[in-house]
Amino acid sequence: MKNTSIDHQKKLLKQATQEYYKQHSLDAAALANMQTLLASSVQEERSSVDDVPQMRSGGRRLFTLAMAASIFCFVFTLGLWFKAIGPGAVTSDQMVEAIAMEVSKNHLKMKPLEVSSDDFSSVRDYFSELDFSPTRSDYFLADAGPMLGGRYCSIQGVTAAQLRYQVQGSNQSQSLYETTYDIAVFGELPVIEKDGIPIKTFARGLAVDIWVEKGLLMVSVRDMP
Amino acid sequence: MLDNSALQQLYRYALSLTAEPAAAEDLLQGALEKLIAQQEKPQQVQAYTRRIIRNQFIDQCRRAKIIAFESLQEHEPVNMDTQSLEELVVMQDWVEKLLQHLNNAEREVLYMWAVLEYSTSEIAHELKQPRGTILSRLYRIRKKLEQIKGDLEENPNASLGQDAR
Repeated sequence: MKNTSIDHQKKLLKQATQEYYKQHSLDAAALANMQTLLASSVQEERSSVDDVPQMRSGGRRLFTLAMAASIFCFVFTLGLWFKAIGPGAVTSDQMVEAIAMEVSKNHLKMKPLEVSSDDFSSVRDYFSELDFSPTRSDYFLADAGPMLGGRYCSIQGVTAAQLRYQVQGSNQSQSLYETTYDIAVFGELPVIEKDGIPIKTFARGLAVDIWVEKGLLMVSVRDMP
Repeated sequence: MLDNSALQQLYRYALSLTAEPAAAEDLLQGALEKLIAQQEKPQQVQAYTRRIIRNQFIDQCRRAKIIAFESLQEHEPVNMDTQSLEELVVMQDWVEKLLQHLNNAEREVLYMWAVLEYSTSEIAHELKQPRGTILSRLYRIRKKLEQIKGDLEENPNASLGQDAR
């Protein structure tokens, strides 16, 4: 909120600069969104801290043995866990919601395309600073119209490509976000090649689909029909 | 992790870099997303987040092929007396005019000196730049402010256009 009254007083540069910046603040809605984002991270940390047992000195040996057994079981089940990514895999609801909120916000902003072309190869060649190669999605392209172009963006802090397509038979556009799928960052998500079914959700009045295809996390955003 | 006051300070820091409220908000949002993705949380979260904001801003400028921060001019003096900057007296509305004439690096240094009240050594340490570079930027800030003051005193009704971004 800017100060519209004229301040005729002379003051030290430092003080005047401080007062200038104090007039520029995030509004309540933006603050609340950011606190929600931070709170989702704190909640996950507390859950892991609460799981640590409180032990007296006499129980330390037993605890050590229990921890060793736990580590063995963890390693044994890790292999099974990777095989479990497929239909019906357990997903992180909070991560899905965070992704959906982020991409829907970006889609609504409709920031200018950095490369405009209906040729996928030309658009892919533009993204020279990614550590992956944008690729055509069989799942997404089934319903998509002509390509419009692309721009750099990010998903949960990971650099991504935002590809924009026209909606088939409409003047509206839809976005397809692609980035490297890192299970440590994004959690378990359905993999198309393993018969995974894309997660369908909604955010800010938009339809959002989330899935993994060809090693990439893919997220599509479009207006509701 | 970060209370509302800290978020506001980080937003204002992002604003000092971008000079645009929407871009500053985006920059902060992106930095927070990167922060929460960290496995180990840093000790000094606010300073760490400021670094993320700065690095993201530089990345954005690089992609848009914008020079984020000008290199130090060889002929710039490095023995500026910061006390003279401390004693500078201005009208409140000169600050907005001044910021319109500063580039990204100068706005950043002004913010850290005036709002965070860092010494030139502390600014140099945070930005990992020589103290002489910081002093030169403060010197240019003072020069631009003197020019604004001179122009306004000559023509009090003049509206100054934007110079550097």
